[in-house]
Amino acid sequence: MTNLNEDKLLDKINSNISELTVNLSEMFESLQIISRPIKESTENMPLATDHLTKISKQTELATNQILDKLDAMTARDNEAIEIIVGEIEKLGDSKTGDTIKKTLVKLENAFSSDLNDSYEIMESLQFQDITSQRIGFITTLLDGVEHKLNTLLNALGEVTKLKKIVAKDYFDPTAEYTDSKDRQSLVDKVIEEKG
Amino acid sequence: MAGKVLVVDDSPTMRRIVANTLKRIGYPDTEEAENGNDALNKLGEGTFELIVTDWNMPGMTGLEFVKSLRADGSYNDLPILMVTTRSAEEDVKEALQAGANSYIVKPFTPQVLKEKIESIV
Repeated sequence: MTNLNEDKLLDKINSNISELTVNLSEMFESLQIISRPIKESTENMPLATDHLTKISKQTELATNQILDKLDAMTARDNEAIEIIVGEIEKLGDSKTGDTIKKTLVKLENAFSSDLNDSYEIMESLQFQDITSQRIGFITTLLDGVEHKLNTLLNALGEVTKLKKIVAKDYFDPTAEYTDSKDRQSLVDKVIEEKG
Repeated sequence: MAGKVLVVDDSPTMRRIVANTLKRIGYPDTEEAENGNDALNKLGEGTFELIVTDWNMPGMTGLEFVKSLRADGSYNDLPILMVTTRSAEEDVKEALQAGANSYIVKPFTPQVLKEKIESIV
């Protein structure tokens, strides 16, 4: 009687183990199916961060090239204005040089307008720092996601290198290129309150 | 004749723009530093009338730099202007509490820079 019960129990255990083995095998297959796209996505992450970093560096390079040109232009404009003003002064109140004087004043105004436009372009180039803050923040987020995906892959049995996360908390995620008048007004209020 | 200004920013573009703007508003003599540590070294090598510093920088941030400078009693009278993208009220309060004398939000205009400098120098 006892032997019969034991046999039944063993059969049941064997059947359960077989079922469990099938389930585990199915689960393993599923995990492999899951891990494949995760692995592919993880492998693409450094590519994405590299691209973003390159965009930031190339924009910085181009911005500095524009600044070089603007520096040269403003220097030339200032020199031209100085010469024109000198010539106007030389003419003094002489009526014979009236037409030349008018032309020189027009030229001076034109160079002054160019100079102001160059300065305004220079101010607008602040966009480069502001956008690179945002890009820097995104690359930091991507590094974090890559690290988490690698941890997940390791848990799924894939051998991946866990990249050391370097804290890059010096990027401002709120940086924005907008007319800062309103934001400056709010800042001024705080400064006033602080006295 | 205006004195020398120390411009602290990790972005070479911003350093150039700030230095150019300072030149236009009457401060032609500038020196540049790329973060707080670099700025502390530069301060030890010269005399400055004003510091214009960014906040978000690798290494020593602008806020840490201001705190460190104010902790060192010998720079208590040196005016510090924070020029940053951060515009939250608590950030402004924190910077002023740390020892910054004034605060500008990027992108800035030469007029605002001039006004703020005139209010603290």
